[in-house]
Amino acid sequence: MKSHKLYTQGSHQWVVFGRDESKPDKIIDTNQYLVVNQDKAMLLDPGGIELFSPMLASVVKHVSLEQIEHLFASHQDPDIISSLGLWDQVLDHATLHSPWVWEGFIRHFGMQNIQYNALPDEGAEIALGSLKLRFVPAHYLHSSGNFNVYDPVAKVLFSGDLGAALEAVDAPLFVEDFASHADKMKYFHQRWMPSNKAKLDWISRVKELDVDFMAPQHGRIFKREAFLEFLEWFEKLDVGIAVS
Amino acid sequence: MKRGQSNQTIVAVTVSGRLFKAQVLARSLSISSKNLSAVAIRIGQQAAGLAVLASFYDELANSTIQLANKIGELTGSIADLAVEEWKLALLHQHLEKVLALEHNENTAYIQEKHEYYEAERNSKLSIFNRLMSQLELMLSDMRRQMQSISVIAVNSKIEATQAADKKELLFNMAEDIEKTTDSIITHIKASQNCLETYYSEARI
Ligand SMILES: [Fe+2]
Ligand SMILES: [Fe+2]
Repeated sequence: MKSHKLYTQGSHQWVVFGRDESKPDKIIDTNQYLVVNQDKAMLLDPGGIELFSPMLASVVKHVSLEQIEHLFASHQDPDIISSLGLWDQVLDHATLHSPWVWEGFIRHFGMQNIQYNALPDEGAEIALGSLKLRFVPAHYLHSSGNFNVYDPVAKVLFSGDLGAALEAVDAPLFVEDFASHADKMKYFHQRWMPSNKAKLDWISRVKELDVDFMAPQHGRIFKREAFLEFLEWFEKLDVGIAVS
Repeated sequence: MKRGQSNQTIVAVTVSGRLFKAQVLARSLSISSKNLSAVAIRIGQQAAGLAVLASFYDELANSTIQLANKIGELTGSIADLAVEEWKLALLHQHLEKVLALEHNENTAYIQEKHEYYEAERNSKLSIFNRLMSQLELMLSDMRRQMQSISVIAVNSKIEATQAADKKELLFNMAEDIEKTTDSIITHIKASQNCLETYYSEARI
């Protein structure tokens, strides 16, 4: 699994993991993120059970397991958090932050040691070292209980399935040309996202944020310009197309 | 689930299913013996031998019910253990891959976990093996009990033919007991075969 430092300022880091060549062909490629501040670390959408070993091997290149005190699962999907039962056995003091609506479901992946912090619908904030991270509501995009993570210092918005594109494992890390990239996102957003109302609600919320990077769980990362282009494109896109 | 652990679970649930059926049969056996005993007592002296045999069935049937109960609990624990062991095997396998991929100061802790879970898994495995041999013993005890009932049932049929009164009824009741006993034995044999297959596959 490849890893790339998205942001580094002193002890404050964002690392993205992905483009895993060892993954079985039929499973969707995912980006996992690690946020480090001082000596504390948090994993965002740690991934599926199939990725656990390459992921753990990559993570310990950056931090030790004892430093990982927080996990975050934007929603309940298997590509997000089916590795939980294994993380549960290797992390001694960790908390999983995830939507309250999914607690009873996510626990099916196996949780004996990790604590569950049920995030309320309106969102929440937590401290990671000296950093304050914000859990921003993104419900119904696509999951009915769903959050983004915003780091106001690094100006990174982890957007989960928003901005996702289904691409080959050798795709570049950043969006270069928005127009051509939009084709790779269109069907995913139209078919997986159910609600135009939820879409507009989310756009108005994240427009207020100062964003240098929008980091999705699949596909490429958006720099500031591309992020703004994404909002404009998404606003016009009709979603929920499986019912007419 | 890896083949070994899924086989363990399958053995446990198969035996547990068979034993449940055997237990239901043993209950009806106990009722049949009580009926036989009641009829024999009513007939009196002529069927005294049968009354004694019937109380003997009842005793054996009750102890079979208890044994089946214990086996049910045992197979439950075996199935639970098989699943726990499977989880540990999975974790062990994943950590092994991590250690093959990466070696630095941070992986020492993973190595520690790896060894800890290996020991944990071995201890689970030895408990599993102990429970499996208990299960084997209980099944052969149960089979022995049923075989004695079967022998007595044959004697009862002979006794029935010698009774002056209600010959046919007594004969049918004894035959019913014999049939039920045979069905219980079939379930026990199937459970034993299942264990045997498991062991022979585990050896390969
Ligand atoms: Fe999803
Ligand atoms: Fe996803």
